[in-house]
Amino acid sequence: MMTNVKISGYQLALLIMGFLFGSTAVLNPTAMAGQDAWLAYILAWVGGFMLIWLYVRIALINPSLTLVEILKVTFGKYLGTVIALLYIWYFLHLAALVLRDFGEHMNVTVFYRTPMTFIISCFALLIAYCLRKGLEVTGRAAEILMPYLFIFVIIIFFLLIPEYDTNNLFPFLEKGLTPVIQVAFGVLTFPFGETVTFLMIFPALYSPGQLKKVSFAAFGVMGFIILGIIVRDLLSLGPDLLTRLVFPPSLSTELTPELQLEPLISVNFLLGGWVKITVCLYAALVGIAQLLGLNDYKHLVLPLVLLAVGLAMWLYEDLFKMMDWTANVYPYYAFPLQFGIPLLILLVAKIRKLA
Amino acid sequence: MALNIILLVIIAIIMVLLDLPGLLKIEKKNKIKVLISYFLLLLTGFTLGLLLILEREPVSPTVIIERMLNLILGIGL
Amino acid sequence: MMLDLGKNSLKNISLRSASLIILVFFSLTGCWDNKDVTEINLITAVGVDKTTDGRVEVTFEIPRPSLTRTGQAGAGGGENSREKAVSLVSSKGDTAFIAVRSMVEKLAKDIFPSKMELLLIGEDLARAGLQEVFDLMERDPESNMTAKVLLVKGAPVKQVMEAESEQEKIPSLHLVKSITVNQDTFGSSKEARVIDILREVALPGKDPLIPVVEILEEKENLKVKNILVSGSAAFRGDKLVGYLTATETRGWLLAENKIKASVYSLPSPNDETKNISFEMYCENGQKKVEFIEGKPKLVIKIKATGDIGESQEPTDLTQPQMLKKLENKIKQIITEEVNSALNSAQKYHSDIFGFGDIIHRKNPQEWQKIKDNWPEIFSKAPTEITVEVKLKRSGYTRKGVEPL
Repeated sequence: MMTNVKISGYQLALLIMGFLFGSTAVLNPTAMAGQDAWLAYILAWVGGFMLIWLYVRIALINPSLTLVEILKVTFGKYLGTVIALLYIWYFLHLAALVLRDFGEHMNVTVFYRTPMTFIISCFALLIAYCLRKGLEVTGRAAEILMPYLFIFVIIIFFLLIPEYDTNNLFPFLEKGLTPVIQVAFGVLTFPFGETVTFLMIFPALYSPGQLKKVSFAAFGVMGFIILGIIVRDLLSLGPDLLTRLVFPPSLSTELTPELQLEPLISVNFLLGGWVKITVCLYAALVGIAQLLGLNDYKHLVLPLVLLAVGLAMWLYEDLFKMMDWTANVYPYYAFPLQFGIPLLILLVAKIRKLA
Repeated sequence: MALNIILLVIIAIIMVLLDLPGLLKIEKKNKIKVLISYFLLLLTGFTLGLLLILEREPVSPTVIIERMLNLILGIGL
Repeated sequence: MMLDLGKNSLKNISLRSASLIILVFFSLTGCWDNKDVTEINLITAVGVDKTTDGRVEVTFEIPRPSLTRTGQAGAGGGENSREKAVSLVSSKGDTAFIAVRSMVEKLAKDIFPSKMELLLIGEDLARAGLQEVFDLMERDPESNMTAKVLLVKGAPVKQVMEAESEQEKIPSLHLVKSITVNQDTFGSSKEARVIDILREVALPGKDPLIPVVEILEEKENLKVKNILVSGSAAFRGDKLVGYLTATETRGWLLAENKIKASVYSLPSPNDETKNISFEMYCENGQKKVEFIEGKPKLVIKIKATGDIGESQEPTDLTQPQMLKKLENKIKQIITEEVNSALNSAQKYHSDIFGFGDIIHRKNPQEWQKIKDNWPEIFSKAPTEITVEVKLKRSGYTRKGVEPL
């Protein structure tokens, strides 16, 4: 099977980090928790560590098998195939969702009159090229490009220090813990739980011994950076503005003295979104190829990317519907796939070991 | 609208032209499988694009997912 | 792959590079949202006012690039030619957004507001509520959230915008610079940016304070020196409720810890006809709310240090007893200033100091009980102002020169 694809530990870490950064940093899913956004995020982050531990365990129990193969092994041929199809749909949906997010962001902040289909298609073209060149090329490109993402985040964080007002963190838990936990659950499913996609990529790691270390390190580093972004937005905008804005970072970045750095937010989205969509579509492609028993997924890249672009335009009528759906429906839709089935896989594996 | 449809057709044709040399080179065993899945995917994408351009797209899957979740979980989403 | 055209011959390589170069061209065009610098009107200031028939009037200040150029124009044509470096265009509409967009009827090029530095607001509009203006500023991605805000008192916004500056080619830049310098070194006016007001408008226990500009003397050819940025306007929510004088504004700045330096003068203890002036630096301004039997008490504590700036009589002012006397007098002046600012705020029921916000953040349970009646509770709450003054330096001299 896909044994010819090999990426290094560092590349895998960068892919996980870019994947987590993705659209999270721009959409700021914690915004609804107001002044307790940081707390909701930290709760979700801790939960995220548990999820990645779960995924790593599954990958270690089934070395060099992808999620689709693991499903077949665990649930038998037919049930396994059905669940695998569900996952393939989920990866495709995720890619379409991020594509649409990117298009909406560009439409709102920079290109007001450019048709969104055009923006999305241009982005998809780039991703199709990366997919055809394979995961190694994407990994190597991430090595070159991802450092810029970190640099931009750090620059903006420090430039905004004069705007920070620590009063924005209070009153602590004004409406109790319940809304915070609700938001934390949302953040757990987006972005942390979405790393279930990496179960399709873990077998490509050159030295499997590094798997645990690499994925935990990536979660730690990127989790910390997103925490910085959330605290930055909260401190500079205040809870009221934060909950009202569509793309909070675009406004907080506008406050940098004497500089116009908003485009950097779009660049960051481009970098993170690129990694995320590429990984999602790669997972979907490998899944399809493995279900069909093919050696190479590369022939299917272009039609699948076309389908993803179509889906991106089809899934949501407008921005409002999309925001509403991702906030209220998405967590319940994604959680079984992110937590339920992986947990089942692990349990079945344990029981089999005992028997 | 007509222009959009023409563009979509051109994109599809370019895709097939780009992929065809590779598709023809596949070993006999998998050839049929790949060709069928390739054109099935392409057709789905193409139809979806066409329907979107004609503004006749069917109910979005997100709405279906929402309804299903409503049914199963019974939460007022 | 996509660009694999077969053998790696020289011809193929050049074909590849040629196609790459062509691709780069495509990425540089920016097709739909292309805006050339020569095809847009940069906006430096925006004025928003309410007309008598209830519509919104928006005025743009558009600099004319050929006339705002510095350097070669200075000696020759610049001063003599009576041409203005900026043009003013205004337009009316049912909403500010319609008014802004219908501006293109009068302009040759599209407008580009990202570089706007100043937002002027008319008094009538401020009394009716600013919600609309700030909503538009927040929604529009091209607006500049760090633009300064000024309220025009007692005159149409357009009249103030017509004032010409003798120091800056663009009058609004003169005003913008003057606001900042004023807050830092004099303190008769405060600086407010769009984002600051946006943050404050929605806070339940804090009301915005916006600096005020008024026309000092009516003249045919109004200059910026004939208009005065001084004092400030207190709002309740988004509605104008009253004005604070220049000294009251300084009192507010002291309590908010926003002032860097300001000057005071008082009659000399030795000779009542002579004055001594001081430059005071605010070291620490603190606001607190103390609850006494469930009733809030507003507490302001200020620590200020200062230099002797000038003396009209040659006494040695650095003697300890003398310093004590001077410090006490300054203390009285500052206390009086802060007190009158607080009294005005209470009179207007406008919590510009943000005491409600302090309760909200530090004592959320208490805030739940009083938040609905906060304007009334605030206006009747007892106050306590403590000021500490320390004179630390006397400039280059200890004692003034004694003319014979």
